[in-house]
Amino acid sequence: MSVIIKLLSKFDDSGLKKAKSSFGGLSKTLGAIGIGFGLKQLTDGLLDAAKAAAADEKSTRLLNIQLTRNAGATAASLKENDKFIESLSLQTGIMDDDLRPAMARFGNVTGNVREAQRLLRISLDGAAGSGKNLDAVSKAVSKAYAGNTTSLKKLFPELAKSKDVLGDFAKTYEGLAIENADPFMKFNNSLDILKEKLGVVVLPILIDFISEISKPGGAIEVVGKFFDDLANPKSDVGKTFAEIKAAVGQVITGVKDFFALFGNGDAIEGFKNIATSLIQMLPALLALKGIFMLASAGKSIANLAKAIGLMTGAGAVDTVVGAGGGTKGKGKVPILGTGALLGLGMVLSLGGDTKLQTPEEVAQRTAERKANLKALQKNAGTFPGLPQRPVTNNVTINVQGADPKATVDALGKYIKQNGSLPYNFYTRKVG
Amino acid sequence: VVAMAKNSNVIFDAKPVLKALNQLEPGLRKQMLREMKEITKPAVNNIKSVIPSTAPMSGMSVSRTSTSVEGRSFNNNGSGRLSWTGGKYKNRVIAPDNVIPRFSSGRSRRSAVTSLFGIWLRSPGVAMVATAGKGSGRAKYATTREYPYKGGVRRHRNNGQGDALIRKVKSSGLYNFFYKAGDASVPGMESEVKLVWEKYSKMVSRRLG
Repeated sequence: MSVIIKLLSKFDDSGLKKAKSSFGGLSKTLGAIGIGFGLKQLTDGLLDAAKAAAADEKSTRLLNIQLTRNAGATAASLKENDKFIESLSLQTGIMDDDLRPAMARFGNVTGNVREAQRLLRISLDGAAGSGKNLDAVSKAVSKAYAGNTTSLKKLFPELAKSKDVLGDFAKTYEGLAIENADPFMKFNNSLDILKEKLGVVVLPILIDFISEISKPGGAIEVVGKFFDDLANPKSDVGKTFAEIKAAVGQVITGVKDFFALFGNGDAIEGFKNIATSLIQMLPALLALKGIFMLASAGKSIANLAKAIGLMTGAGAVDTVVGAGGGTKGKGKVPILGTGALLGLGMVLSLGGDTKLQTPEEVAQRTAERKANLKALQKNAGTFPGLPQRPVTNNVTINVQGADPKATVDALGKYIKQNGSLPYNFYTRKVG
Repeated sequence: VVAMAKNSNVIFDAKPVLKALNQLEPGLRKQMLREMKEITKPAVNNIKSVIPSTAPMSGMSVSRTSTSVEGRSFNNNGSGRLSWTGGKYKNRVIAPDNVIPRFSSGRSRRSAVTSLFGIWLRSPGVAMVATAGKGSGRAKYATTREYPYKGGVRRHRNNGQGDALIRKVKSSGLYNFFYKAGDASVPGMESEVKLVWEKYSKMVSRRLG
């Protein structure tokens, strides 16, 4: 523990970045072993692993060839050497790709795998202890082993007066490579080795897959030919593709035009209006579906009328009427209007014909009704039985179960106040 | 970063300026440090003067005899790392009043903002006592963070030793003396050091620009 009074501080995030980059390989390797990543990352990771395994396999093969030729290595000693390199890499945090060239060099000089391994250890210790480059140290050590100690003495001046240069060098730096190993690099190395091991499993599968798809008549050839044909408008595939393209274009244009009708020429707005109205209309649409079902089941007109009554009574239509606009072209969804729905219901129930009226027809019919009503009101009083004042439909007379005297009194009171009964009172069957 | 930028004592271009200083003129960096150190001299002397030359607590004294329990002897003879006169830093015995101005341009893997120049009390035991009593004295966590121990890591329960230490130093009146001694002169030193830095960094920008 020590304490400091800070008088001036500096901002330098390069150390943090370095620490982060030490972890950089982690995500890739975790991806390769499929931890917490999606399929793409997994595939990428596996391919990375396969690549790493291929590279590792190549570098191992090169070293093995050198050791077999120059150090008389047997299959068993090669296998053992492989393990030695791997464990050394794990212990020191130095990548196996950096260790193999040095090992090959020592194999050439010593002609013995064991001796080469010993020299490699010494060089690693020396490099770690002095902070010098492994390549430079291993070159100097190999020269010293061959009897030329000048390079090693130049690199390590403290050995200038030594009688056993290599021995003293080994003693001075013994074990420093493992002691000074960077824990981040050790961790990364172990993950890299894990990745390579995974790649060893993936690689043969990948090779099989590649040879399978690239053989004559394989996927690459077939798919390649298909794309060639597709690009050529003279081929059958090309013609069909052109036709599909044109048809799709037409359909898309048609759909766009259709929706544009309901959005003041804006297809997207029109689609939005329809979708909004459909959502708001859901209860009414469900009732409408009920009407269709009853009609298709051949039920009586009374039942259909009941269904419409239910629908109106449930307030489903009212909610639609109340659903105000404000949005561009919203009023242009006529099929969802009250009149339209009721009109539709009437067509279904009274006409006995299940033909659906178009919005234009429904609107026309409503307009005619309004015109007729206006004409009727204009001529009020001219013809007997027609109302003297504008029609009001809020006369409520409960006949069923009512006292006949009270009914007559109510009618008398109404006539006294309003002059006569509304015209449609006569058109309807009372009782 | 915005908060740091507002703090005028944090500088962002330390690395290139320090690199350029000696390229401009060999020895320029040393000259800057000498000037900075000169500014801290009175504060350093002041801090040194409040550090007792002998251990304020018997347990931190080198002369304390070793004890043995059930035949095993324990190294609590006061020559440990936290001893007053025999305190060690990097295996070197540090005098209790070893207070020096420190310039460290190295980067950190843990923090982006690090001290560039400050006053450093080096002896670990003295530093512990010198800052004891500065805070509330209550342990923030029930256990310590992991720390290296005999080749591995370990953590231990906060067992009240710290509390006891704080009680002791407070009763003796010798507590939080490091910051107390330095605090009075800190604002002045800060601006002076900053001025020196500005002088040299302007030198660099003028010559390079």
